Amino acid sequence: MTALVIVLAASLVTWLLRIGFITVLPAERLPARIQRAFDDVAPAVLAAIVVSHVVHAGGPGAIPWPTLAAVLAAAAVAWRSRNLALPVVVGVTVFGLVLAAPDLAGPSTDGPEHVQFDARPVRAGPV
Amino acid sequence: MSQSPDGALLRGALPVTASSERLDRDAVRDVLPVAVSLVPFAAVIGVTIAQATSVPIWVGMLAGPLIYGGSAQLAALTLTDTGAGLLTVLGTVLVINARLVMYGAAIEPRFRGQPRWFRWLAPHFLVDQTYTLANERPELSGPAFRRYWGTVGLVLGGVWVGTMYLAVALGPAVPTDSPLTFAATAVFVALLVPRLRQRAARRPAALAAVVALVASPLPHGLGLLVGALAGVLPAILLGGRERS
Repeated sequence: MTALVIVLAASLVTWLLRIGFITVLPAERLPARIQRAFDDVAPAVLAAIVVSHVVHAGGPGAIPWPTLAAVLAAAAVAWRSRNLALPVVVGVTVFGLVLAAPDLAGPSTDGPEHVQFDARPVRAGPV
Repeated sequence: MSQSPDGALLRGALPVTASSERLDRDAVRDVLPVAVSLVPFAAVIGVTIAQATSVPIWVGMLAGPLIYGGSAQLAALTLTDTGAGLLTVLGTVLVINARLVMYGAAIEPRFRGQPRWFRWLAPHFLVDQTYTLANERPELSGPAFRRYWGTVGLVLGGVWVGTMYLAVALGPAVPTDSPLTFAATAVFVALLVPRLRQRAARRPAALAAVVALVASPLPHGLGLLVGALAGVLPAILLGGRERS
């Protein structure tokens, strides 16, 4: 019962965050200077999400080489093509390959024992 | 944001109302790779639901479509299962999902002039991925936007919730440590990098990345929120760019 109440309340809070500037206080009523900043929302949030994924893949103090290598590979492909699937396929492939090569990955940074952690990216979603 | 008048003419002029009950094919094509990339994360949450001891399975499953956000759902589920109180859970959910407020503000023009039911209910589909996909198609408005947004939200939610429920049924048999877990990260890279070809996108992205990195020790993904806010801040302080 308590768990149900918590889930319903969490859903309500999330919905309020979503409709806040759409329906309750439409953003068109905000100052023009703030409205012009909206163009920067997507690049800023996307960059912050990617960084947070990489950081959380490594755990404290560890450099997550497989994730880092895969991000760079996916980024290189994405720079050349607007296709969404191609960078994902290349990124996952590189990630898998570096994981499978522990010598490349370095000692116990992001090896298989950390993949479990990678499986719970705090920011992956539909977040 | 890159407005494309050509696209607006091509797409906006189509008599989309005639076929408004069908799924938008462009939307399906756009969202499918994104939806597939979420399969590993949905599987992790499904397994967590199945293994929770003090949260009934049906309550955990209900949270999938109701919260429509993986990180918040996972946090709410695990915190509740370890005995955290209502306020702790709500505070955490609030921090994790706070950037939805920014998305709402930024996407509001697309909801302007839409029917009342759409303005109240359709924002439920607002997440990182749906916001970004809609952002890539600035030419859509009116019924065309409703169709696109609805299709993207339903397909993403369908794959998301379907995978989660399948993982609940299969339980610990589901592998949660495959290289596919990187797919979710890769989608965000694929959405970010093409934008960086535009000079105007580089400052907010670089600033957000650096600040998110420095702030990453903060709990509950607060570093992500702080980084994103830092990336947008100069535009607010300096008055932003003139729209072309």
